Amino acid sequence: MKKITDETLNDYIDGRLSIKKLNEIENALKNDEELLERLRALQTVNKELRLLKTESAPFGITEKIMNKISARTKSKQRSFFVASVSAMGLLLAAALGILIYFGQNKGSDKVIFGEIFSFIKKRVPINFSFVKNFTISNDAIIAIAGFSLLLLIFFYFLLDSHKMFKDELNRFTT
Amino acid sequence: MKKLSDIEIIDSVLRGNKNDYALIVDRYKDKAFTLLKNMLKNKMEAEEALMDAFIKAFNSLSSFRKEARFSTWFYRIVFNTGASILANKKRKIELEMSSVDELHNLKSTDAETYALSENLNGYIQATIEKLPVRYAIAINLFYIDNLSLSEISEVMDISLVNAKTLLHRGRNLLRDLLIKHNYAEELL
Repeated sequence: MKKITDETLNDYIDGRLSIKKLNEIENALKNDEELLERLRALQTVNKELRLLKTESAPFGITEKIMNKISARTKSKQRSFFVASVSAMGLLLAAALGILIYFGQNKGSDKVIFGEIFSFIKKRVPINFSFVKNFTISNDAIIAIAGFSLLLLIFFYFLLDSHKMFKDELNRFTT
Repeated sequence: MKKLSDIEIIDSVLRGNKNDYALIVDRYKDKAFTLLKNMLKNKMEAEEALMDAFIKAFNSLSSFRKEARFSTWFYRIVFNTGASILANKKRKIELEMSSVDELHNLKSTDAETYALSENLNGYIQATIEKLPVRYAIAINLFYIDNLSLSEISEVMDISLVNAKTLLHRGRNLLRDLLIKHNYAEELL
């Protein structure tokens, strides 16, 4: 008779044996004390393993994980905010530069928008005729653009300090 | 109250309710921590790895295909997180065989473990912590996380036959120790 291996005994307790194999084992168990002892010990192990308890994760781990996730999301939102403000600032600075350039070159105290757009039109085929006769004082443009830039910087720092204050508050309350 | 399924919670998180992810964390934290502790044999490292695994899972939640169970997908992340910590510490898990040193260590400390255990289950629990890492992982995934052998093979990235072998060898080791202590006869 073939020796019953540990592999077969493991399959026996997992219920993975064919009827033929099952009968073979049951017959062998009737006459083999050593096999019976091996099987019983394996069944005990199987029973005890089913009773294993999980170990509790450290206290407050859920809050720690959620805080990390929320900090990461906030940092992504903050990067987007900074990028948007920077882009707006750059656009404003570029617009201011163009206006100053055209104002100085023409030696007048007025910027004639039609000239700027005809300059752009040479490169980009867009019709700017609707602004051809629109003029504004050079100083006024510089003042408006400078004021907008200052306003942008002011709002940036205002929002930033508000965010920092909110984060501090959250840190104390959680 | 109806208990939300994993998929329902994940759908809600993906719709923008990020705080619902706490439900997933609460559901899996103890089991994942037990697995990592058995893997890394160190509580502090297991805690770090646990946080890391949950954050990784959150970040790749949109790539979860819903074809497999969430638990299988998640335990794969937990296993890989633990494995990379072991690899960084040059304590690589042997893929095919258990380390001879680990087995030697298990047998040499067995008498002490047995003497210090209050009951059979305590002894088994303490012995699992000293089993070669891959046996302990297979036992953990099968008995605590209720994963099937095919799911274990997916999580550990091994063949079905290897997953079965790991589980059987782990059980046989524990059985041999029980026989040595005459425990089986005492209980049956």
